[in-house]
Amino acid sequence: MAEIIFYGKFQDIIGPSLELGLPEGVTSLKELVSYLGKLYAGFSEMVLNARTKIVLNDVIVQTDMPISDADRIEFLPPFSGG
Amino acid sequence: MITLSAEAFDPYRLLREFTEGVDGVGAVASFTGLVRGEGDVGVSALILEHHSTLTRGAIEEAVQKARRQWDLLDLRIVHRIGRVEVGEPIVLVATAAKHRRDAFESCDMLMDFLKTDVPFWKKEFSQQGERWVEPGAKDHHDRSRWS
Repeated sequence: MAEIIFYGKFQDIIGPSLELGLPEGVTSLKELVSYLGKLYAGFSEMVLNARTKIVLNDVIVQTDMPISDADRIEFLPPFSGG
Repeated sequence: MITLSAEAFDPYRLLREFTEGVDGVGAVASFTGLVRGEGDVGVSALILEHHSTLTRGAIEEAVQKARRQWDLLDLRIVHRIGRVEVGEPIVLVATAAKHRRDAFESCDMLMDFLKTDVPFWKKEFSQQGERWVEPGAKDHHDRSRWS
């Protein structure tokens, strides 16, 4: 099961985390975003914001990265400190 | 030194201790950010979320950048996490140098990075409900000064 963690405003749409067996056909982050976007309205649009970051196993990556059930995936909306 | 604090802190005491602890210092610049009441909106508090590893790492990167760019003797960053009430400090950045320009500019840069480049997420609670706050165009413009 992939562990998927959400921060900030993503939590309002999906919640803090999901344990998900990746469905057939979901083999990249881009496909995962599309899959979750069908389940949770507004999610894909938020992720497409250029300032959203995706972290795969502790490394910030692009959406074309392949993923598996062993991965830890984090969705980070635009940062807002200070 | 970098501190992520779940407790309220006293920026004036920390600034005095910081200043007294730097040998040969000629200039200290500091910035203290507070939770604004926002008048009509009636903001009562903020919740600051952070990332367990990436937040500190991003601050450390910004500190390294500041140290490469300016001649700093020392610096101190304290950033709140968790619930912060109106009027409480959210952040303190203090930089110490021999000369004022190094202190001023590094403090300015570090605050811009904390606003836009460090994994914090800010939820504002007010009479109108709650909302996630994101940096505005001005914040990104300020950040762009440092490339």
